[in-house]
Amino acid sequence: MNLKNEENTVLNYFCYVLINEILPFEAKYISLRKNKNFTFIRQIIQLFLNDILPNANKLVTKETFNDKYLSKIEQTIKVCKAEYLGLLIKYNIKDKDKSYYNNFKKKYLFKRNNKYGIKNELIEEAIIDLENYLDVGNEIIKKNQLNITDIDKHISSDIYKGELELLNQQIKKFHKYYLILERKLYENGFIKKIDENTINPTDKINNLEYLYFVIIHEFWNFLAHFSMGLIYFNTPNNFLSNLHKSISHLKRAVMDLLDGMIIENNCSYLPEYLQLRVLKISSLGNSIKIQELISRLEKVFTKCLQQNQ
Amino acid sequence: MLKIIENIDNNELISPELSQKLATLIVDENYDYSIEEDYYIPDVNYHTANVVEPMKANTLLNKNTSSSFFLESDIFIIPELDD
Repeated sequence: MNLKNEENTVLNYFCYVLINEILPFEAKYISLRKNKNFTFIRQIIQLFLNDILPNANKLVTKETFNDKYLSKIEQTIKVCKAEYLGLLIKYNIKDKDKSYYNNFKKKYLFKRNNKYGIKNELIEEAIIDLENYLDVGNEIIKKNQLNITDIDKHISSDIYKGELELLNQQIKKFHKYYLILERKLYENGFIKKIDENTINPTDKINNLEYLYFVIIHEFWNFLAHFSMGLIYFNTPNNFLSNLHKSISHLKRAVMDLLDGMIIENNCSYLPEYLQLRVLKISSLGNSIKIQELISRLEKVFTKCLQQNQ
Repeated sequence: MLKIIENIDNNELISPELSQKLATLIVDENYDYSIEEDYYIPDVNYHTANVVEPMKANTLLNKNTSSSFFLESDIFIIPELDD
């Protein structure tokens, strides 16, 4: 076997796992639980920023990728999968097909103190069994995937360069402002409430907390489009189109972050900011103007922070 | 190891060379992407998280299914299932 092909980049493996495992799983999982599991999403965003990005271009084997990177979220994935399994059974099997259910229990589950549990090593197999039975597996992704052939002929092309450098800039901006927002939401206890599941049904959330959900959604969409482009890299156009979509979600996240924090810091009365509100409307759909808008929002936000000190 | 990793066929991926080239362009090696240590996210525990889609965000609906734990680390409780 060609030794070279035993390795690929950390970024590539991450995107592959995201597209073929995490995203399809999460799509089914939130349909059953009716809500996104934000702790799960945040863990993946954190893995991406902390571990994947700084090592993105390192060549590793599948095994190394698993041990050094993916293992950090393995526990979480398993917990979510166990919850998914329970929900899938509850809604689709339990009262509908007793004989399959009884066999399934016998094969994979055990009961103690009135709770059902499953051994770590059986989770994947149990899900495949159940998903095959219900015909909801992930195979459709592969079927929809066009053949990746001969893509290396595009390797010399520099048509992506400008876009990728733009992405580079926007990820840094996102990271910078995301940290500021996270710090605030840690300090006010909101994130702890999410992670520990202690929000009461009657709790109202404030603008900044609302913003947090919005930008996490945007970042998630960025990751999805970028990964899709990289994994289904069948033509340069296809890649570029996903790249554009991913950058647009990322810019949206950066803009929302800045907007939200300018409002939160009581600077939305500043004339410069009022003008930007108008500029925002006139920039709709115009990529270059949106970049300019982001730079100017950054300036207002910096001024705002200085003013508040 | 997750099954998905075992099943990757490296021949279905874009080549290491192209992938490396792209990855190098999106990352600034002089920038620190880390999230501060204090902000480490705990492992997801057995809860159906009370989080919401943005449009529903002003009324947080908590499903509140509490579960107890088994002590063995290689066993996962399946919530929402009892009979």
